[in-house]
Amino acid sequence: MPIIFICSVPFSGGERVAKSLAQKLGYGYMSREDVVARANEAGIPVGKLEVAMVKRPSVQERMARLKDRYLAVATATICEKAQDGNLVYYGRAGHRLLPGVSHVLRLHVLPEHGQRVETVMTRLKLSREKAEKFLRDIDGDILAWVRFVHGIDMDDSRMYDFVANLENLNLENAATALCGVAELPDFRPTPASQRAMQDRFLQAQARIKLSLDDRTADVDLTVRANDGVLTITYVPLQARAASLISDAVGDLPGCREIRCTMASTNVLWIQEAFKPDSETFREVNELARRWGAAVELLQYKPGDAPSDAVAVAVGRSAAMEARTGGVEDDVPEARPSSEEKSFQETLEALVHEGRSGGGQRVSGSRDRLSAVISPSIPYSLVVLGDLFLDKPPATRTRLVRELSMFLGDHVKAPVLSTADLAAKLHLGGREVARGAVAGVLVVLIYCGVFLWQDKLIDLLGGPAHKAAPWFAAVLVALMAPVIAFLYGSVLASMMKWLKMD
Amino acid sequence: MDERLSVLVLDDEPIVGRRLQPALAKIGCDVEIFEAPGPALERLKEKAFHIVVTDIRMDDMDGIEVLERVMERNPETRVIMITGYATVEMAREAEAKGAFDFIAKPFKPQELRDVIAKAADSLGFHGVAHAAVPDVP
Repeated sequence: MPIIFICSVPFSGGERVAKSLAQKLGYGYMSREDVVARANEAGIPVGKLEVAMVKRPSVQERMARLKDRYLAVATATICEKAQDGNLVYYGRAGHRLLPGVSHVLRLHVLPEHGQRVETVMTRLKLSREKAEKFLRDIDGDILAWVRFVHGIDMDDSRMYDFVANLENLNLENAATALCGVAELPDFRPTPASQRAMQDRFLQAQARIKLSLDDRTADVDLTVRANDGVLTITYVPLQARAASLISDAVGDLPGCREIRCTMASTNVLWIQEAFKPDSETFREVNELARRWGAAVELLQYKPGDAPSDAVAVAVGRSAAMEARTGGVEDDVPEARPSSEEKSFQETLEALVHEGRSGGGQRVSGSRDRLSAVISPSIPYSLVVLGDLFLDKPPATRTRLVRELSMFLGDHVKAPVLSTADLAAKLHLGGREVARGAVAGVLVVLIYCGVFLWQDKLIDLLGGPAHKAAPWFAAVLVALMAPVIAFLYGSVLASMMKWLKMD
Repeated sequence: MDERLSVLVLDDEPIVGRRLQPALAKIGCDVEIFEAPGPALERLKEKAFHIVVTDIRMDDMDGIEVLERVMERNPETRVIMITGYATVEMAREAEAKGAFDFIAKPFKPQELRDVIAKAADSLGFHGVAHAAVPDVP
């Protein structure tokens, strides 16, 4: 039988529907509160995430690691409970935790507004006006939570198999109707879906172990499980952590093998000052998304006093420690400069996107720059962003071009400026025209070949060929590259239009 | 304003008071620490504190009830809620009932000092905001 996920907003009656449904079906029941309690026990301060939704949306990205840990605990807790038997889960968007598991029934309960306001007024002892504002606020916060944590719009009905609208349906009848839905064969477990759930469980357990181990907690790792095989991918800059991964994961039930691999597609982005809301960030991130690549940031200050490379790590998410009562040490912290803060925020934005390849800072000559670019890392691309910012635009362009040529000789990867990157990513007007002309020529050649087929066959192997055999050889030698070039131009334009590389 | 900022801290974990007392005294606050809501509410009957910092989850009475009692007695008092088990519902309920701010644990004392500085500012204690800036070169 399926795992039933009921999603709704607080004070909606969704929790009562979920409990009633579990009772009618004889299933186990679990709510988001159980998951949060488990996360808090594991030292994950979920409250920080919750309050971030209420107070400062700008700090949400800083909580990328915290979010990943919470998701891992939530997945493991649900899988553990669902393994014992049938389960009804009530929460915000729990069904997103088990992608690829088909024996999941996703239900959305829509509340009856008037009843909801009355409930809040009674339970929280608020006036009607305050109750209405309270509900508007928490609905907004929960939508923000679901968007941040699960990356979806909670109100999108495409996310659910069924929607129960309590405007015209009472709670008990809703639960009764949903009992019938839960019995449908479409949601029954299959060997494949059970195996998928075991993999999600294994993946979550590994993620938790890695995040709770001090040696691997701050390493950017991608964890995947497939048929009992755990594949853990680390970024090249953190290759030293590779030997610790297996040890940190340890023995997990159901794990047949642990494979540790270095991310094979890596983009190195060199720039003087980084900003997560810049156009260049969007371009590089878009490219990384298309390639499935990790992006490594290298902040380079040309010409400054030479410095050794400084590795920059994303600040560790706060963990709850019982001995401090939740009040951390009162040590004055040096406030980072705005440039350091922007760099850190860009790195955190990449962690949030799951594409961080780490970051480092260096200043000095271009020799010093090339010295910090490790030759053992298989970069797929080096992007030169905004550099030489104190120089006039013409000088800047020349210096970037010179640096590009210099790095081209020292790094085994193509080096592109951000202007080149934009041209590579987007289909420009000239390319559209070139692709269209090439397309027309290809069509004309095709038409020519099939209209004058007899003459061509004669030329290539008939009486005409016998009369002048050299002519066919010259014709093929000339036409083959022309046709290949035209085909290539058409296909390149089409692939760029389809955003395929 | 020459008067010192009076702050009542209520948390059933003794270590919280022990850690917050010096952190708030540092910015010139008169701090009184309580570990149970009963004695804290008794003290609030005797003295109108400028700021109350209270935990939410406590055995005898929850922080929301403390907030309601403080707001009934002295609506001018700025109440700052702290908790390790924050939820958006809890934060919005506290806001609807008049809490000045809501901080999730774990937090750095500077985070609380920043909020206290804002609360003090709203009460006319402008010097606290300045004192709340750490002495970092």
